[in-house]
Formats: sequence, C-alpha cells, structure tokens
Amino acid sequence: MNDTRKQMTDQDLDDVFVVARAERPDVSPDLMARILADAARATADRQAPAPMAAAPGGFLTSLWAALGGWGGAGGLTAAVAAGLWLGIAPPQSFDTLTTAIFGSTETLSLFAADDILGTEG
Amino acid sequence: MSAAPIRAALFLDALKPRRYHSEMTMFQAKPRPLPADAETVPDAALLVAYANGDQSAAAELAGRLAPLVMGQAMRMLANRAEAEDVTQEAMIRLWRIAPDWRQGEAQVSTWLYRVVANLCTDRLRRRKRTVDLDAIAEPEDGAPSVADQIQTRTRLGALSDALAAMPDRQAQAISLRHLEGLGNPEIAEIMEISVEAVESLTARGKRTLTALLSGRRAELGFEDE
Repeated sequence: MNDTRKQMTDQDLDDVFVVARAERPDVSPDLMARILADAARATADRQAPAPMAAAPGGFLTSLWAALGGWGGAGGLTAAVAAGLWLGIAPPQSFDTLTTAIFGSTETLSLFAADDILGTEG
Repeated sequence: MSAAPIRAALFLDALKPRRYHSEMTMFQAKPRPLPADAETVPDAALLVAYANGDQSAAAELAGRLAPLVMGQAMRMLANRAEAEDVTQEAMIRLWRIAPDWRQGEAQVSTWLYRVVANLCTDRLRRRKRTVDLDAIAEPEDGAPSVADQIQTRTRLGALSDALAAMPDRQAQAISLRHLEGLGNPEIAEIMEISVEAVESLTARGKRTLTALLSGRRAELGFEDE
C-alpha cells in the first residue's frame, strides 16, 4: 500500500458529503415543546412592565443629591458658618488687609453742611 | 322648522357620547388568527405576527424552521444532544430578535443559517481542544465489515471531527456549500463576504478536509483499489 492509495479522492469526499446531506433528523416533540415554551416566555418578557427605576423622592431628595449628599452638605455648612463668623466679628488683620488692598476711605465734603444751596460763596 | 328646535337638537347631539373610545380600542385588539392557508405566509410576516403576540405564528414558524435548523446542526455536529441544544438556542435568538426584525432586509432562513453556523463552530472549537484526530484509534486489520448504518455514523462523526479541526470560516463555507447544498451567492450573503471569498474558502476547505480525512480513509470504508 502506498501513500497515494491512502489519500482521500474527490469521489471519496463527495461520498461523505452525500451521506451528510441525507441526514434528516426529526425534531422530537419534547424539543418542539421547549421551543414553543421559549417563544411564549419571550413574549411574556416583552409584555412585562419594565422594572421601575429608583422611586422618585421628591424635591428635597433631588436637592440633597444636587448638594452632593452628606459630604457636599457638610462642606456647604462649614463655608456658611465661616462666612457668618467673618461678617460678625472680622479679625483685626482683616481690616489691615482690606486697607492694604483697597486703601483707606476718606470723606470729602464739597459743601458746608449748613449751606446746601451754596449761597454764602 | 324654526331655528330654536334646530339649535336644541344640535345642542343635544353635542351632549351625546362620542365613539372615539371604541375606535381607539380597535388598535389594542388581539392579533388576528392566522389564515387557513398559513403555510403560504412568508417567514418574515409570521415573525412580525409573532412579535405582535400571535403564538400560533410562532408554532407555524417553529414547524417550518426547527427541522431545517436541526438538520444543519446535526450535519455539522453529528451529535443529537448538541444539535438539539443548538436548535433551541437558535430559535430563542429568533424569538428575541422578532420585535426588531426589519422586513425586506434579509431572509429569515439566511439569518438562521448564519446563527446556526456560528453556534456550531463555537461548539466545534470547544471540541477541537478535546479531540485529537491522530489519537483516534484506527480499526484493527481484518476487522469484520461494519453495517451500513454504523458506517454512516462513522463517516458523519469523522466529518464533524474534521470540521472541528479546520479553521472556522473554512468549516462554515464547506458546511454551507457541500452539506446544505447552497449556492455561492447565498453563502456570501450568509457569511457576509464576497462570492470570490466564498470560492476561495471552499477550495481551501476541501483541501484541508481531504488532508484531515485521508488518515481515516480505511476506517471510513473506502477500500484500496
């Protein structure tokens, strides 16, 4: 026996294909029942209401979320308290700082207080 | 008739309940049953009817398509349990795509050929890791000739093992061309490649298959001349 005789010929291959093409398996009643049950399940899944997202909590809940929750609200509270404190009792160094930046305020009166109409020349 | 009774009649008519509600509910009516000659309804129309909730359309489609799917899977896998799994999975995918199916874009059968070919090559790829063609025992010399049915099983099994050992696209092209008997243009549509690419794949696939099966020629019942 030589290698050439071991080689599949085109005819051999065609014979295998013919056998395969003749394969006509039946669909068992059990498989068909599973297929139809899947079809009904897919329909039911489509018709089922979509699961609700997180329930809306109203204005306060969305405001709380917009503020950033506990972390954001804590920072905001601290900033408000600090601003209030500076407004009520500004430290001395604050006055020096504003004077350095904006200068001191001088009041100049162009008219004598008792001569509004400027009749005295 | 004077003007006053006419105005009164018009006023009373305006108070009558209108039929708008019943006209609107018309659109929510249950799907119509399939016509008696349902076998003439195209697959795509049945799929749309199923998507609208008609389970009898699903039954008609399953009756038509499941045997085709089962046959394609069985010819590629040569294993009934695996072919049944593939059939069920392919049909599930069909049920799921039904609401999005666009009529006229593709044939349902073309879409299914593609899905089944992919599902089968997935399974063949997994089998490739466990099946070693060279490790399959050759039949002993002088063994008695086997019955035709056993030889058929042997040939189908060897073909499936060879498909598992081939590159995926070659296996798909060979399967669609030589096992399903489809033409190259249809295969090109299924595989989403050009006809020339199909010709190239099937030619290379046949050479690969010949090489893979040659070692099992005697086992497959091909006598030396």
